[in-house]
Amino acid sequence: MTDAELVSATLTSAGELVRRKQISPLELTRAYLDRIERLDGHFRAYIAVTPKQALAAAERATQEIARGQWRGPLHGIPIAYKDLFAVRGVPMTCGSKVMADHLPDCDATAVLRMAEAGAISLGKLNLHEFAWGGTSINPHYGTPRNPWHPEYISGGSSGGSGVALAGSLALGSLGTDTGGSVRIPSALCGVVGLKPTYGRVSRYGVFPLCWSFDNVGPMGKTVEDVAHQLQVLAGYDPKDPTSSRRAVPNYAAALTDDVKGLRLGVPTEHFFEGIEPIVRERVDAAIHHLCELGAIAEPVSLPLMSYVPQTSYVMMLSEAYAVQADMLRNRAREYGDDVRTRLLMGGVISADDYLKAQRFRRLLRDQVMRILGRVDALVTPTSLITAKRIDQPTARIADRDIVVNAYISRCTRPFNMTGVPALSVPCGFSAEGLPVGLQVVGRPFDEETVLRIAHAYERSTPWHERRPTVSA
Amino acid sequence: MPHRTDKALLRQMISCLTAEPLDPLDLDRAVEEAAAMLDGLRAIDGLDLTEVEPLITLDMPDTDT
Repeated sequence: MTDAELVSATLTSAGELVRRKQISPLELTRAYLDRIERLDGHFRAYIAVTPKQALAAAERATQEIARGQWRGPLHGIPIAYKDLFAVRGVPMTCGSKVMADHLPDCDATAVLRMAEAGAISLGKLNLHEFAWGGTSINPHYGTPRNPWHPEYISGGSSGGSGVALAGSLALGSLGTDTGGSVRIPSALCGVVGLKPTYGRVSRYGVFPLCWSFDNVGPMGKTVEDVAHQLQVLAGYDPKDPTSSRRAVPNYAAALTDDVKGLRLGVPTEHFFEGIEPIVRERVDAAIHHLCELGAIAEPVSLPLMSYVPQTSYVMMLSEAYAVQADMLRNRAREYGDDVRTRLLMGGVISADDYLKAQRFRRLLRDQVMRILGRVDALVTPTSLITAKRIDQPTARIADRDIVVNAYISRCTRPFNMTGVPALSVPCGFSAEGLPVGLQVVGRPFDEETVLRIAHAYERSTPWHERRPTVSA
Repeated sequence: MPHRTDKALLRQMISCLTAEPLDPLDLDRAVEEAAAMLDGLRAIDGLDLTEVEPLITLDMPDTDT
C-alpha cells in the first residue's frame, strides 16, 4: 500500500480491501507501523507503539481471512487506544509519571471486544495527563501536535487519538469522554468522534476520571468508521454496573442519509455565546445545509446551560480527587502543574457543594429531556473556538480573555452531565486551515439518529475527504 | 465558621492534602483557583433547589423518550 493510499484510506474502505483479500492485515499493519516510525517522532500521537504484538495479531488475522474466516469490518484493521485503557501486558501510563510503571494484568472490556472483532492494536495513544484537561499538553510524554498545523493543540483529552487519525497513523481509535475528550480532539483535528449514551459502552478497565461523566467513545475518519466501532463496543457488561442491558441496534443500517422531516433544535442560549466568528459561520452553514437535505431547524431554549461550567467542574474536581487522593497525598510532585492544581482543588469541595451540583444536574437533565421530546436532535458547535497554539494558553475571543483549556469544553460538558449521546463531525475549516466541528446530540440510546444526521451531512459535503499534508 | 472562599482557610485545607509540603507557588496557584471556583459556584445560589433530589446515579431510561 502506498503512502498516498494509506492517507486516503478509512477504516471502512480498508476493511473492504481486507474482506476482498486485496490487502492482507499483515501488509496493512506493516504499512502503518512504518508510517508511525517515520512520522510520530514529530507528532507524538503515541506513548507506546507495540509492533511485536501488532504483527503477531496481524499474522493471525491474515491466516484467518485466508481460510475464509472473516469476522467483520474491523478484522485485520490497525487501530490504537488512548493510554487510559488497560491492555494486558502493555504499560498503562494514563499520560502520567505517577502511573509509568503500571502493567495491567487484564484487558479493558472495550479492548477485548475490539480484539474479538479482529482489530489490530498498534499501541497506546497520548493524552492529557489522567484525561484531566482539554488541550493534551503533556509535560511527561510530549504534546501531540495537530496534523493540520503542528504548532497547534490537538484538543483533548484524547489528543493522541485525534492526531493518529488525522495524521493517518491508525484507522480507528478509542478515546474517553468525561467533558468532551472524544469530541473536542475530533473537532480540532477534523475527524469524527462519538460520546455514546452513558451506559451504552462498558468502562471496565478504563482508568476513571469522574465516574458520573466518564464514557468510552469511538473515533474515526468518517461517521461510518465510528458506527462500525460502536457496533462492536456497545452492549451489556456484567463487569460495569452502569452498563445497560438494552439491545444493540444495527448502527451501519441506520446510515440511510435520509434526514427529511427530522427536527433539529438549535439552542438559543450558551452554545453560540462567545463563539469565534469563523466557527459560527461554519456551524450556521452546516445547519443550513442539513435543512437543504430536508431537516427542519428550530430554536430551542435551554436556559440552565449557563450554569453548567461551574456545576460540572465541581463534580469533576470532587470525583477526580476521590479517585486519586492517595496518589496525590504521596506523589504530588510527580504530577504536571495543571493536573496537580485541579486535584488539590477537588480536595476542598464540601459535600454540600457537590450535592448542590447533583441537584442542579436533575434540573438540567429534565430540561434537556423535555426539549428532546420535541425535537429529534440538537445541533451546536462542538467547540466555540478552533485549535490554538500550543504555547498560547489564553486567547482573546469576542472581546474577552479566555483560558483555552476551560473554554474549549463549554459546548460538550452539558451532555456528559445529562448522559445523552453526542457526536462531532467536521463542518469546514478556518482561513488558517484549522478544522471546525458540528456537534449532533440525540435522545438516550438513539445513537442511530445521531449517526444518520452526521452521515447525511458528511456524505453531501467535502470536508471528510480533506487530509492534512504531513511530513517528517 | 469562616466562609468557604476564605483563602487562609483554603490554604490550610490544601496544605493538609499532601504528605510532603507543596512548593509555595503550587500552593498559591491551588488556593487562588479553588477560591475562584468556589466563588463561581455562587452563581447557582439563585436557583431554588430545596425540593430537588440530587441526581446521584445517571440511570439512563431504557425506553424511547
